[in-house]
Amino acid sequence: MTLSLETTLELMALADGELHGDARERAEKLMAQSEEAQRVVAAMRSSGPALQSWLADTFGRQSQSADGIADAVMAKLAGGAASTVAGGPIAHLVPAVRAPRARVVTRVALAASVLAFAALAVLYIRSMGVRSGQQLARVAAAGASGVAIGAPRAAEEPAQRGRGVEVEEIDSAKRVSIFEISGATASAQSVVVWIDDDQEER
Amino acid sequence: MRRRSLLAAFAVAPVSAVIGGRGVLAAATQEVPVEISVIHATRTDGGASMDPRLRDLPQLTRQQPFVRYNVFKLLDRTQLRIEKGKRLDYGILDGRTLQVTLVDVTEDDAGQRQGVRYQVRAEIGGPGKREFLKLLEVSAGANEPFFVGGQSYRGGTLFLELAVR
Repeated sequence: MTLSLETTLELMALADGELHGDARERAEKLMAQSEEAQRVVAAMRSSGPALQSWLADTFGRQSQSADGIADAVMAKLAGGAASTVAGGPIAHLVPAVRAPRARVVTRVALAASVLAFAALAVLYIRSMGVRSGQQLARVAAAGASGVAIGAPRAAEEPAQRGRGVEVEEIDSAKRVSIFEISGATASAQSVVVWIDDDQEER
Repeated sequence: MRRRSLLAAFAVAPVSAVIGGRGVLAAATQEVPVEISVIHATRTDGGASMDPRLRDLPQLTRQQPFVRYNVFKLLDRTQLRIEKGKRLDYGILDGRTLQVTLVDVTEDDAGQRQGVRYQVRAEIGGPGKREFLKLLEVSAGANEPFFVGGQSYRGGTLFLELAVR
């Protein structure tokens, strides 16, 4: 056989009536010039039914085998046990292994969520408690210095604030200074009238 | 009708005065407690100390003129009752005398801060000396103390704290 594989395929297509255009003209011209090409086309055309029958038988058996395998696998999946095809096991289903693992993952995710929520709650409570903490620290400092600790005072009671101490008149033979101070009471300003005893009298 | 209106006006006026200015009247007719504290302040290298009976003073020691000292001791604390227009004498440890007069009691209705205000006069003098403090008049609310400092005493100074309680 001197025909190339490509040429033989074209001739087979011509025999099946599936070749068109330039390829068909080229195949027909070759068939007119070459006896070998004519034999290939004639053989393909004459052997078509037999070839189709052979193909049908072959692919039909393969299809039935494939269907049998699929049926066997599906049956074993449904039964939950080992399956055999032609006497041998093909698959083992292990649901009992995967289920606990899934539960562990679920528990870990749940624990992480709880921890995250707890952390957020702690942050929120701490942010809300800043002022209270400062008050406690202030009271603790006062306690450390031996000062009596009383109830929270007018810093938290602006409605009861006074306008503080106001100096209306002052006279002295000595030098006088007036210092405004805060903290003498928690509610208002106060003053210290300082008269320098060491200064020369006026 | 006209006479009934006048009678009604005269009848209601005292009641209105009592209701409207009851704080003033009550305060004016009653004795007011005035607390006097004598604080000795000194400066030492031995370390700071604060008399625990000086409740509010620790908050003031960072401010002038308290910051000049680091040892504070309460020498005396007394509470006197005083009527409006009356004067009280208090003998200070250094031999001087503090005279306190309750000049007036008024009601402070400025803004939202209502309360009674006390006008207090203080004078400090002593025998053989010119007046240390000829006159000081302040206006303060209850529990609003003010201080008079500067009197030399035992290597330090005296702070007099006065407050209407």
